[in-house]
Amino acid sequence: MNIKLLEFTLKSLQRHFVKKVSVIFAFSLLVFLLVSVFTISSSIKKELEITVDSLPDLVIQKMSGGRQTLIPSERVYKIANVTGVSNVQERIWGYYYFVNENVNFTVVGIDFDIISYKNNYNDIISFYSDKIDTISTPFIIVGQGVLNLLENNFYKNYYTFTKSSGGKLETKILGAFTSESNLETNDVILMPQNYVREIFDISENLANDIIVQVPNPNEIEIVKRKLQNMFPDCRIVSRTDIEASYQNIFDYKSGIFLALLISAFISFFILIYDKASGLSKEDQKEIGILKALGWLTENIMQMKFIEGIFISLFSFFLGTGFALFYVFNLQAPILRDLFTGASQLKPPFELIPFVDFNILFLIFILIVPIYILATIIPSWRASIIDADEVMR
Amino acid sequence: MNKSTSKLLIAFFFVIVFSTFEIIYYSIYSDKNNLIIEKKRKAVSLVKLPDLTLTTETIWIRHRSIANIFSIFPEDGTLLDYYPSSFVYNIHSNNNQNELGKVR
Repeated sequence: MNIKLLEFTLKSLQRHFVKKVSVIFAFSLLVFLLVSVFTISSSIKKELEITVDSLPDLVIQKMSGGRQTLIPSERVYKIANVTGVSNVQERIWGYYYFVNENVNFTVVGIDFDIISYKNNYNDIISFYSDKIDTISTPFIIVGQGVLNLLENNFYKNYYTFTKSSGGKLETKILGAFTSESNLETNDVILMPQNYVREIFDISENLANDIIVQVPNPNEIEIVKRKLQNMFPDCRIVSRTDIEASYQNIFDYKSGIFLALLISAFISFFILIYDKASGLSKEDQKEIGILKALGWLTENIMQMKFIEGIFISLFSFFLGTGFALFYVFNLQAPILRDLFTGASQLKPPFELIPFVDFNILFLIFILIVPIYILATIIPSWRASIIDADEVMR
Repeated sequence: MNKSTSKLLIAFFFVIVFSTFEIIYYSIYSDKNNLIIEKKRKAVSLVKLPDLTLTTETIWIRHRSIANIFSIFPEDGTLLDYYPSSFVYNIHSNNNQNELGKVR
């Protein structure tokens, strides 16, 4: 590369500093907004993808008249006999409305004696009350959001549920989920199954749904169809369905913001169009003088090409760098709220660092080459005209 | 090349190198992240319920991905359609293998 040409281009940029800075600012801001929104979206999506592997392979829900109803527990034994199924469990869970704060908690009943669960306790739950007799006393393990709301409402170390059948059930708070799993457990209350049955008034021979593990991934769809034939009144949700649902919701959320950004895109393309449709008198004069001094069309285009690359790459990387810093270091204030709900139970979560190269490449392709073309084409038009004519 | 031009060039390369480093850094998971991810996985395998607590205001948004087809009706017959309720499952997806995972 001709160093002198590079130096001349840089000096030319310095001469038109204010004008170029405004272009760089608009350019970087657009890249910043696009990269930020898509990175938040992909980070949350990544979080879902990571955790989706830990979900049961199939969830069986009994439907009646298009509504989900309680499923007989005896079906667990029938499902366990299906070839390919390794583990079947009934699930007792539901939503508990907390009137004081106008929020819903997710109450999940688990069998605390199952060994596979025990391995998970110590890592993700911080127990802060060891004096509770867990055999005879009802106890709960809560998410950080629930814990804060209960403490704000003067429930220190205990909470009293109102049962569906009437009456109260006082429970002790045994521990809380650690903050790392806030995004998954913020509104969760974990307690022994029999107490959840008591609160929601679910009899022993019924369950909310049944979860099934199928060790061989190739057999999941076959098992699903078998179960569908066995229980025509059931809806069977596989992990693939759940993943598709996630994809939809995040496409939708990013889509809303993209729709808002269309105006920004349009203004950017107007700027480009304005640039492409003709150079200012001053720029044309500069090209005319250069030609009169003996510059070839080729040299002028090289200069404009360097200028275009310099501005577009600088803006792209500046916008991307700031966006990643904003999302992962500052945890995306304001923009993050686009992805959260309006409830009081907002989790103070941390976004997992994840960069989607497809998105970065797409933004790069959409913006950088177009800007370079918009710089070169009008300069080429001006440089092929006779120098004398251009200067006039 | 004079001083101010060199400064401009250095600024240009600094921004590119810094941003590239940032992209590479964030695209590689650190050990700390793996620990956090492991904890998240354990939490989900304990609770066994999908979806994030980003939206908890209504009961079927919280676990929207396992909400039933007509979840809008059981909760409140007078409730009008709103954004997340459009993301329910296709009733036929359970019976047709080619249609698996399609969400209407």
